[in-house]
Amino acid sequence: MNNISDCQHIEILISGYLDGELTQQESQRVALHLSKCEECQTTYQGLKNLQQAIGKTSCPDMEHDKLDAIVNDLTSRRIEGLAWFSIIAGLVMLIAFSLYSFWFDAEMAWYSKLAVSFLWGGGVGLFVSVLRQRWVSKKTDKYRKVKL
Amino acid sequence: MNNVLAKLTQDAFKLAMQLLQEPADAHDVLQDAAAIAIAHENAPNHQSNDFKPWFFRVVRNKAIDLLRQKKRHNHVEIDDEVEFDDTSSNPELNLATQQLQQQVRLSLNRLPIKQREILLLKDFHGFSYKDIAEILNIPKGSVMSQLHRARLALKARLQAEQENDYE
Repeated sequence: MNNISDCQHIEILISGYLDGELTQQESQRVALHLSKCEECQTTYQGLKNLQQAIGKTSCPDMEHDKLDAIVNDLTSRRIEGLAWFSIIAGLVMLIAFSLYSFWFDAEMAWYSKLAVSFLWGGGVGLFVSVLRQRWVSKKTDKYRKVKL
Repeated sequence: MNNVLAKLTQDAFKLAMQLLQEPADAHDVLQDAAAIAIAHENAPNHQSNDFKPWFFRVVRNKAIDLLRQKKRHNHVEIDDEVEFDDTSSNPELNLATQQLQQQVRLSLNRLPIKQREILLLKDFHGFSYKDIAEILNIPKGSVMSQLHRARLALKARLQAEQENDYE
């Protein structure tokens, strides 16, 4: 005869057993109890039938042209990402090559190269600092989602 | 068209329809969700496994927001059931099975929204407990108990409806 408290403990696990979300030990415990308890077995079977019925309920599909529009928008996001990556990679390679050519130019005096490098370095540093400020404020601005 | 993405979008539309029961509202929700998926900095890549639960979470939240708005403005009960023409039913199914599915669908639509959504996410859309926890923003440990309560509630409602039919 099954203890009522056994049934109470197992009942909570029946859905997890039905969905395959229990540990192996819990599954074995539930399976053993179900093999001995008719009431819990009835509950389990009832829930299983209900699950199958829900799975088969019908639901209308989205109209094809509207579906197309949404899927194309989502797909374009990836292409846009790839395009930006290509632009940035190209710029980085161009800058690296330019720097290499500049520093190994035998005709220019070393102090000229140093002065130009400082000028460019300062300009790039200012640009990066502004970018960083904008990036941080974008992340922390609590009003950024407010629509006026 | 990207077939995987098309199927995912179609499935998300079905969730929106199941919660809102109005095709126009469901379509609006999907458009808003797609706009967020395009613009949001934390959106996973749509080809990764994380995208589907993330997208469903956005769709679900938008649907709930719309329901609350409609409730505030039109005094529409969130649990109001609206029947739509079951045009996709399989004519080869026997009448008893069709009637049962119809009764299940009607009883499901009459459940409170929280119970309805968890049942649909598991038994219709086939999400794991982990994904359901992410979509509904609840602890994974509480998914099983909430789901079980929802199933028992649906079973009780279905039995009550069937008893009413027999009277």
